[in-house]
Amino acid sequence: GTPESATVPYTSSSGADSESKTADKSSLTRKLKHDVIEGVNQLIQEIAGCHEQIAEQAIEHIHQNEVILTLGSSRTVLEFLCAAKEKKRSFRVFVAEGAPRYQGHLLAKELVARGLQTTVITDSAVFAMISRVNMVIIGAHAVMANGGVIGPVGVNMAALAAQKHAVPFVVLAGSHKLCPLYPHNPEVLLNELRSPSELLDFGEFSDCLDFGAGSGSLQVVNPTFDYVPPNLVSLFITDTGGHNPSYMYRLIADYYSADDLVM
Amino acid sequence: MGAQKKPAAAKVREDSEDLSRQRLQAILLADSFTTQFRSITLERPKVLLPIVNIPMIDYTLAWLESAGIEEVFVFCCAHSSQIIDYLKKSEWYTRPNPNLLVRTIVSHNSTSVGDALRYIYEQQTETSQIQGDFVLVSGDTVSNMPLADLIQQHRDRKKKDEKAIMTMVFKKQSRLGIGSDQLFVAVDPLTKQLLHYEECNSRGGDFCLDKSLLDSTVLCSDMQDCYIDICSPEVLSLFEDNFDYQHMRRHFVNGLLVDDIMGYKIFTHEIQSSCYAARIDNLRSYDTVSKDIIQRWTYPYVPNIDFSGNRPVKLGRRGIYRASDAVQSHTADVGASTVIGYGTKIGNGGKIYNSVIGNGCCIGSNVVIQGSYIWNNVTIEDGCEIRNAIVCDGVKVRAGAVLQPGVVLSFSVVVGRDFVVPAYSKVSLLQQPTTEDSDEELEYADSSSGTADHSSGLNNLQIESKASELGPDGAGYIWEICDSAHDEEWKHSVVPIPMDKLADITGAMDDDDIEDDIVVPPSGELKSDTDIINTDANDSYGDFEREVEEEFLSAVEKDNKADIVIPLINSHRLAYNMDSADCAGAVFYSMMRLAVKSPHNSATELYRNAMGVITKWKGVLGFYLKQTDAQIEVIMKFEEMCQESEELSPLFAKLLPFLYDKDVVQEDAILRWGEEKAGADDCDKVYLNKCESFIKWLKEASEEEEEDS
Repeated sequence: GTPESATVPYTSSSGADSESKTADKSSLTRKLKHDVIEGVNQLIQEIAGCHEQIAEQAIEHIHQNEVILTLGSSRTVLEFLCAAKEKKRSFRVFVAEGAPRYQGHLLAKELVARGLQTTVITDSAVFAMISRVNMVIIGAHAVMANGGVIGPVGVNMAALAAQKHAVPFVVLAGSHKLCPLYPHNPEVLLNELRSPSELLDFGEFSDCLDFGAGSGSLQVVNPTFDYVPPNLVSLFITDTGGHNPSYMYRLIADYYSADDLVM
Repeated sequence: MGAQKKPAAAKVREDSEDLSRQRLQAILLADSFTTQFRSITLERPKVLLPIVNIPMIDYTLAWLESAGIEEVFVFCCAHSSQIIDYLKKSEWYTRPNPNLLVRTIVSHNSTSVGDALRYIYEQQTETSQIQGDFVLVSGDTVSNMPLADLIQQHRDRKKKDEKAIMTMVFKKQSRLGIGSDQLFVAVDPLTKQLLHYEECNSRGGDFCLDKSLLDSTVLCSDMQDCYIDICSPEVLSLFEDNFDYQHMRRHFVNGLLVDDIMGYKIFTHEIQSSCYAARIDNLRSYDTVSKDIIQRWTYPYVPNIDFSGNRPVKLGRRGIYRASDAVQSHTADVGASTVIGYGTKIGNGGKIYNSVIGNGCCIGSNVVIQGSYIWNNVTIEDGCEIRNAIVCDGVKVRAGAVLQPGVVLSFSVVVGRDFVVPAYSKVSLLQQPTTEDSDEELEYADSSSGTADHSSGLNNLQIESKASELGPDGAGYIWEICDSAHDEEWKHSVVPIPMDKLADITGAMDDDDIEDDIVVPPSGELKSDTDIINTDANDSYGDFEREVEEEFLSAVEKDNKADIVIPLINSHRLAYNMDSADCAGAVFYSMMRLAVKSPHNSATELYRNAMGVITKWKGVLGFYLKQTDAQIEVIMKFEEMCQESEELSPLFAKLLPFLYDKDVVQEDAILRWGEEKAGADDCDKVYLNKCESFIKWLKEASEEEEEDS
């Protein structure tokens, strides 16, 4: 893809020669507009097309009679698995439900509709089932410059389980998910804590939550994301192919202009 | 990051019959017409008061924006200039969302919701008018519930039924509803139509239900009214027609429910448990809603997300929200669930728990702040203790002062050195408005005219810096709590409820937990002829008794025969729809009263009197005592009378056999009464014990009869 255009420097127009200056300005503006529109269109195309390009590589990674584990719901993962199914590989999928939003349930329904043999398990059962699994495939929310992954809450647990049992942990991510920040940057790892109503009914624990003086108080933490360090990731599959986590920093230079980055 | 916006598709549900697309509109009442926050709202409008450092109106506007509302009419009355200034400077005007248009409507003499709606109705012009259904909310609502579906539901319902003009939103009450009146709501479970709405001031109050409701109703006492309504334009015209409708619920809703002629219907919607909606109508709800926001129940309207141009504060561990430039000494202990605003400095050794501290505050050393709400630019000097208090902008608390639980310090008050502000006091630089102002009695009179005086008066006010009520260097007046409100102070405050009161209330709540599918009145059987079932049927019985007694006494005077008296008593019986047991009881009661009233000097004489009366009038009594049930009723009535009257009690044991002899009561009745009483408590069995020997004799006698026959 093209790097994002840097801003075009402007010369402020003075009173005289205003006509020619404005003519220049307007042609410059038009060119800038054109470039920006082109760049955005390219980005849109990339994002729309990344699922297909990633799914093309599915056949190389999923083999016959394998057991795949995934967590939560990712469209990339769905397309990936279905592409392998199309090429007549038969395999089974374990879907960890991804509490508290339970998006794994939706993914499981989709997979069954496309004809794949699916098993739904709870997040807490991941460690129990990992020994039967050949490969863990998850989708990412963002990929950090050091190769770390930000994914739905629970993927860190799956990655640790995979490492313990020497199961390959594969992350599918379109190249638009690449982020130039490093995890030591404080904004990165601040998780988004959602409403506790996804965990508890508002009424249930109201007496614990009403903290009076001296009585204990109940706190409910409902994070949305998880960070997986790069040493737990075996392989990144992007629309440009498969990469090592330690290679991801190289891709940043392709997608981000050096002017925008502070390394 | 911003509030979640509904996708454009959800907003555009075009009514194929309508030519022009109706904009989704809302009316936001920026004046609550009540005086709960009086000491603070004399100077600033309630909707601009900060909750967790963000003005209340921002929460409401952000929520309406994310729900897809396209036009909001903000109705201002009190302090309207402040509200308009704020909105102009805020994000709603400076960086306007093209999908949301915020307009203000200013009125100067509205004193209630009814007045406001009438004013809005009259003020409609070509360009700004209420077209179609609108959402009616108050400016102090904090919510994250999605509205688009609800509005669509309302519209669909309206299409099918022209009379369905309003949908009210209710929430299942999770916590003890202290500080607000208990609400009794009757809803049809299938259609969700609202059938009855009543606020009860006292717990365990009785109320009347129309019998026609009893077919299929769910009666709930644990619902909370969110005061979020989806209204059709007919609502505005109804308010216009009935100019005495002031309060939305008391007058309008109850008026519609009672009105059979027009037949308008109100429907209800129960909010899902995953959504949050609450209104800040008094100090206690200010406290609970603050805590809910800090615990993120109102996500995404939480302090660390920029949803309305507010400056987000970072959320750290243990639920502590700390602004990036807040300065905190390393010996200060900031506890869980606390919010520290921008530019605030906290000195050494401070202990801050469960509190909200605003922007620009300066907190000295060794300060204890617990469960309190400190607003902006407050200076708290060393060694102060602030527990469960609300401290408004610009207050200075001098060293060593103590604020006891429940204190509310209004703007720019100064608390003197080492001064202890007594619990539950409301302190303000302005003097308490006198009760001579007749508007004060109406709870919804915000005396908007009065506030205009006050705001100018504030500029001219001489702040007495010496010898004020707050210590030698303090400034401000402590408002007096009027006597009637004194007991209720603990209800309407940010102080956590004392344990003993909590126990009382939970105990009382367990008792009157009513949620039945069909409500059966607790007293007596269902009278098929009555339209109104009084849950307290004793009143009419009392009247009946009195009438019978009068009748009886007049009969005694005129010395009538039984067959003359009986029809007279019958007429009363028909009027009150009593049955014969009740009549018997009443007659017996009258007879015994007569006996008691006749002159007697000793118990024996009383006994003789009673015997005489019974003998004379046993014909009348006998007429009603044909059935055993009636006879048991009489015995029990007698028991009651003996319990009440000292004189009669020794007579019970003697009179019962006498009644038996005279064939007034049969042995079946006596024996059954004995059996029933056998299972009762000892205190009820007093008379039973007295008659034990008689009952034993009866039993033996009946056995002998059986043996004989």
